[in-house]
Amino acid sequence: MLSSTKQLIVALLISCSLLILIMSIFIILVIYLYKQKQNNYLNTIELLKIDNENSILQAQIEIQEQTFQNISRDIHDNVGQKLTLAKLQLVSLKGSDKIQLEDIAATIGYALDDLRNLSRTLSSDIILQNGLAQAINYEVTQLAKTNLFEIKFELLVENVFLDGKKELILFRIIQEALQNIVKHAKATKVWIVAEYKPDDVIISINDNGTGFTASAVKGLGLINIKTRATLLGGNCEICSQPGTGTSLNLIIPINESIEPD
Amino acid sequence: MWLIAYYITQIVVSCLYILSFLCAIIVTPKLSPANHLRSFFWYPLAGCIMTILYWSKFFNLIPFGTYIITNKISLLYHYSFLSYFLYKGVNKKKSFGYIAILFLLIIIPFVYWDIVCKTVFGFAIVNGSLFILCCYYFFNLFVSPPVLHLNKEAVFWVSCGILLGAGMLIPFFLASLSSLQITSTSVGYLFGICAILGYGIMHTFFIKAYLCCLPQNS
Repeated sequence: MLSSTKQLIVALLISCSLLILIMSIFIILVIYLYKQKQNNYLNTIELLKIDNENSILQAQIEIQEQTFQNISRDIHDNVGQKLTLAKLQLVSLKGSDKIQLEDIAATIGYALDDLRNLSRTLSSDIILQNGLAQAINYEVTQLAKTNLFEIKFELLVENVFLDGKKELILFRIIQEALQNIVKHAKATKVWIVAEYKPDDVIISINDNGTGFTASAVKGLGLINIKTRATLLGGNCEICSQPGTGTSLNLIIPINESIEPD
Repeated sequence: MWLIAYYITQIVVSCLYILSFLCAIIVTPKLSPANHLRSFFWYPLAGCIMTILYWSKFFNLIPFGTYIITNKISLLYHYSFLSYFLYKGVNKKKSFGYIAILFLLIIIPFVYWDIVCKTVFGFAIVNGSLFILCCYYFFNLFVSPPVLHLNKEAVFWVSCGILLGAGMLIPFFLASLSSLQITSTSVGYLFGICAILGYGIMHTFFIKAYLCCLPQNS
C-alpha cells in the first residue's frame, strides 16, 4: 500500500512538472510565433507606407508636369501671340524715330525668343517626341547661349529609349541639377556624360564650381533630386567638397517600373 | 514533512497574494478607463481577503466552519471572475447569452459535484473551462490583427498565469477519474501544495501584468 502511494506521489509530481514545462514551452512558442506575425505585419505596413509615399510623389510630379504644360501653352498662345502682334505693329509704324522703333521691335523679338525657349523647356513634348538625349542637348544649347559657363554634353553609347515617364522625370532631375549650378556653383565648366548600358542609364553632371559640404546643405532641390531618383528605382550620389567642384552621378535601372504595386 | 511543506508553500503564496494586491492598488488608478485590467482589481482584493481569513482560521480567530463556507464562495468567485475576465479579453462587447452559459458551466457543476456530491469533478470541470478559455484567448491572439507590444498586453500575462495555474492540477483530476483511490493523506497534502502553488504562479503572472501597464519613463 505504502509503495503504491509513493509511486502515485512520484507519478503526480513528475506529471505536474512535465505539464508545467510543456505549458511554459507553449507560452514561449506563442510569444515567438506572435513576434514573427508582428514583424510580418510591421513589414507589410512599411511596404504600404513606401507605396503610398511613391504614389503621392508620382501624383505631385504629374500635377507639376500638368502645370508646366498649362504655363507653356499659355505662354505660346497668349503672351507669345500678343508680343508678336506688338512687334508687327511697331515695324509697321512710320515716323522719324524709325531706328528707335526697330530697336524696340528687336528687344521684343528677343523676349519672344526667350519665351519660346521657356515654353519648350516647360513643355514635356520635347522629351516625348525626341527622347532624353535630344532634350539634354537642347537644354545644353540654351545654357551655352547664356555664356555663364562652358558646357559640354557627351553621349557615350547609342541611345535607347526609356519609358516616356521615366525620361521625363530624369530630365527634370537634370534640369534641377543644372539650375543649381547656375544659381550657386559659380562654375566656368560643366560637363554632362550620359551612358546607356544594357541594364542601367548612367548620367554624370560635373562642374568646377565652389562645391559645398553635403551635410551643411539641406536644400529642397537636392532632396527632390534624391527622391525622384529613388522613385525611378535608381541611385543618386552627390560628391562635393568646398573648392573642388561637384559631381552628381545618377544610376537608373532601365527595366524598373515606377508604378507602385 | 508534508505539513511543513504545506505551510511553507502557504506562507510564500500568501506573500504573493499581498504583493499582487499592492500592485493592483498602485497601478489601477494609473490605468486608462478603457484598459481591461482596471476591472481586474477585485480579484487580488478577494485573494488578499482569503489570505487574511486563512491565517485567522490558522490562529483560531474565526470558526473552521465559517472559513470553509467563505472558501467555497471564494472558489466560485475565483472561477466566475476569471472566466468572465478571459471572455471579455477576447470579446469586447457584452453578450449576456454567452455570459449566462459561461456561468452555468461553472456554477452548476461546481455546486453539484463539489458541494453536494463532495467529489473533485466540479473542481476538474471549472479548471478545465478556464484552461479552454485560455486556449481560446491564445487562438484569438493569432487570428486578430497584432498589437504592437505583446510584452505590454496585460490580458496576455493574466492568461498565461491562469493557464499554468489551472493546468497544474490536471494530473490530479486525471488520477481521480481513473480507478486510483486517492485517499492517502500524503497525496491530499500534495494536491493542496500543488493547488496553492498554482495560485502562487497565477498571482506572479498577475503581478507581471500590472507591472507591464506601468508607464515607462525614458
